[in-house]
Amino acid sequence: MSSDYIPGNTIIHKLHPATKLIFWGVVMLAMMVSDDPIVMLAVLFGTIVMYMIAKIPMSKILELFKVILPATVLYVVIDLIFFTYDPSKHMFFFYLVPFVNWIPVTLESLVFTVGAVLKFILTLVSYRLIPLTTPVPDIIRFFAKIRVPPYVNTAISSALAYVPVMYDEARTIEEAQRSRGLRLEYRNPIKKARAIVTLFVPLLSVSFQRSMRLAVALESKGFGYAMKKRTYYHELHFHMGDVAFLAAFAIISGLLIYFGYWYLNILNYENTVRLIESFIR
Amino acid sequence: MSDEVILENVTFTYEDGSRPAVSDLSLSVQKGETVVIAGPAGAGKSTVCRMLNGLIPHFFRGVLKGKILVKGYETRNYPISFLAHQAGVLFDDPSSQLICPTVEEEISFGLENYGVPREEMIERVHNSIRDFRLTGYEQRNPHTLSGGEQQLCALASVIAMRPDVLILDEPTSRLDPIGSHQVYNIIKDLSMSRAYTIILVDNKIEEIVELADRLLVLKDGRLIAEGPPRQVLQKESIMKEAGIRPPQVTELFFRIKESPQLGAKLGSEPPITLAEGERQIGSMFNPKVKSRERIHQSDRRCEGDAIIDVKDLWHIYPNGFAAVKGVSLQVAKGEFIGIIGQNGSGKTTLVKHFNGLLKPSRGSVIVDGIDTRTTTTSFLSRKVGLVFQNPDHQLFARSVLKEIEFGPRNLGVPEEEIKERVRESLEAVKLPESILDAQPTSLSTAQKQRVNIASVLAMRTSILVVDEPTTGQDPQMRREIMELLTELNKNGTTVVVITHDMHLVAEYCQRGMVMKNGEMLLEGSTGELFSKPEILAEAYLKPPQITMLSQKLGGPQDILSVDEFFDWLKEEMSHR
Repeated sequence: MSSDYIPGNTIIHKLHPATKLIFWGVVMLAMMVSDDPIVMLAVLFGTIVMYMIAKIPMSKILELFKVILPATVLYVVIDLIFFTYDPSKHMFFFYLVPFVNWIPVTLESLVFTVGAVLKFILTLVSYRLIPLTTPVPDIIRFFAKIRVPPYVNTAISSALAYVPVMYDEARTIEEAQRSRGLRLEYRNPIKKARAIVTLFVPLLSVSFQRSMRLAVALESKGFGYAMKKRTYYHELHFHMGDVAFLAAFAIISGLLIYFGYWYLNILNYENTVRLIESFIR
Repeated sequence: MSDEVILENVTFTYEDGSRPAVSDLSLSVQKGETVVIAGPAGAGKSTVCRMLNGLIPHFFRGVLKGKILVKGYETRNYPISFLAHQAGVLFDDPSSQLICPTVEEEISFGLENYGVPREEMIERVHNSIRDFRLTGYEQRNPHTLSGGEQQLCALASVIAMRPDVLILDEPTSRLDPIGSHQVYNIIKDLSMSRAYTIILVDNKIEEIVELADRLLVLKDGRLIAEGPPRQVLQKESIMKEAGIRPPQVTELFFRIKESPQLGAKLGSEPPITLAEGERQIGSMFNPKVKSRERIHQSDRRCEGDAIIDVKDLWHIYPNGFAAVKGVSLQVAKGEFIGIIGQNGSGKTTLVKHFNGLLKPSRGSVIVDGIDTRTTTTSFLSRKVGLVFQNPDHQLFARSVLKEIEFGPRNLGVPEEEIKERVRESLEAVKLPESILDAQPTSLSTAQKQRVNIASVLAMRTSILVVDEPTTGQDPQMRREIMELLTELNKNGTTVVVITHDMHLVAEYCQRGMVMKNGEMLLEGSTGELFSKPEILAEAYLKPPQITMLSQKLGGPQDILSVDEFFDWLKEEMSHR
């Protein structure tokens, strides 16, 4: 398929792409004003509710988790390494690297890291809702509407149109090389890299040829003729659903800014730390 | 009538070209005329197309001499975006001219660029979708349509812009027979309507003779023949020089003409269509032919053990699509077998089982005694060489030498032997040793295809499977590749070839198998296959013209070539 779009007729599907983009903006805002894992969990919960309204199978989210797992682990380790350890205040648990006593793990660093990881996951999960519920052409029409230059827009649009084509090409290339005895299951990184070159070079050359032909096709369709007078086949409109969602987003944003900005300590991870401490003690 | 397209002494040399792609070309095309340009690869046909909408000299740069006028506009003075509105171009490769994510938008794209008001645009898009039989596909990604539909979508998007001149650059050369049929039907309608000035570049002479007002033959950038098709096709030596085969009925006519006894029985005008052939050649038989016998023994297949044994093979892709459904096939050692059928009929899926790229979902594939399920592709690649359709999908090395060495190296062949194998396979594909240092990507298509085959030959497999080796190649190149495979076959290699070209199947394969919707529709010697035109028609295939001629005249059902027809005719006439 050309995109991740899952066809549907739900209220989320019917939202204007701008509304969905604003939803993502609200999530981003929450992440800016807060680093508290509880707040992040709440936002994640809200996002998952949106997925459920849109009838997107949960497997889509799990798929995403699988893909980002290695990055997440790395992220956890980095967060733990750079968290400043204060022995006088923090509740020490253990060292991540024992014997050499390296990278202390404390309640504080753990809570902070959980919050950070949730943010990372949330960024992607909330963003993915857009392509999953919006047909690619709608996204492009929206870009056109907000005056993204036609050059940029057409580049994005044709790139998206070509995803299935390039996917097929990549698979054919791999099969062609395997038919010549290529093995891809090498452990040795140098051999592995060499094997990948045999796939990468043809893909690059095929893509280059394609982009050349695409440029010719664009020119032959009069692209670039009187750009200012360009007309559009599709037009997008805001509906009642958009208004309702936008109102809700406005309220949530207001609350986030109010509590997060003026009463910073409420949405701070340290509150959660204290909460957990009171349970442990 | 006025001239819509005029070329006056045009010479063009590409920026990186060593010789002119087109030299001193003059031609004029009238409004509403359909002109067909034929010629071998590198003749300058595409160059002419590019000139007419300004891609030359504005996009493809080089030295342009002479004058090009399209509807009175001298192309060098106007931008492509302006000229594209006058002359719409359809290219050979359907997928690389589709820009938009949906069919609807693909068709509206050009209109948007020209600022057509929205109401009118919607109407034009709807009309195009209806006229080009794309109803129901409005929201589909054009790249997911079949080849023929993709090409129709691309043509619809060109027509929607309402150009006066249509330039069609080998529009069916990359399509399967159904796709070609769909596209030719539309082109015929467009040509008959006389609403467009059509310049069609095409080498499928049998398909275009009826719609062409004039036929132009180009070679090495020069116009070597021009005139009504019937006249041009009579110039045998010129056709040969350009590597263009006239229709088989025309070939037969000349063959008969050469013969002292039979020649006198024919008129002076050669037939150019099957119907004309039927009338003219048929008039020689009085009374009508009685013999309906076949001339071939029922089997041309080799006797021997099956080197490939496919038993009730099913292949179901992860998305649930059953691409191969219960196919059984035995290929004997030393055979030359053709697999035919439309794109998507499961041919490629089937052959990918021969070297284990795909494993059976059900049933089994035994290659040289080994069950493919129990081994890997890298092991089977010692036994089965699989040559893919597009050489660009496998050429990666910095030199031809490295490219050919790649396979044997993967197999762990000793250094000394690799050298020998490189030399040998280069010789087999008739490429000079001097090419070894060249970069594969810089070669011509024909050379790339040869390097591609050489790189598989170097693996010295006893079975060679070649997927569509002739797509996008000119008639001469097609023949050369088939000759090459025949040569290898004579030396003991078992050859399996996937092709759409019925003429090639008739001429080169011993046996054929027809697939349709994942099932085997028909299997047998080539003579047997073509003697069942009704079943072939189910897969949208038809026998070569000469076979059909014989069948229509009541002659043998399994005539496979002009020579065979002629020999039978001599025999038949000698009894009278």
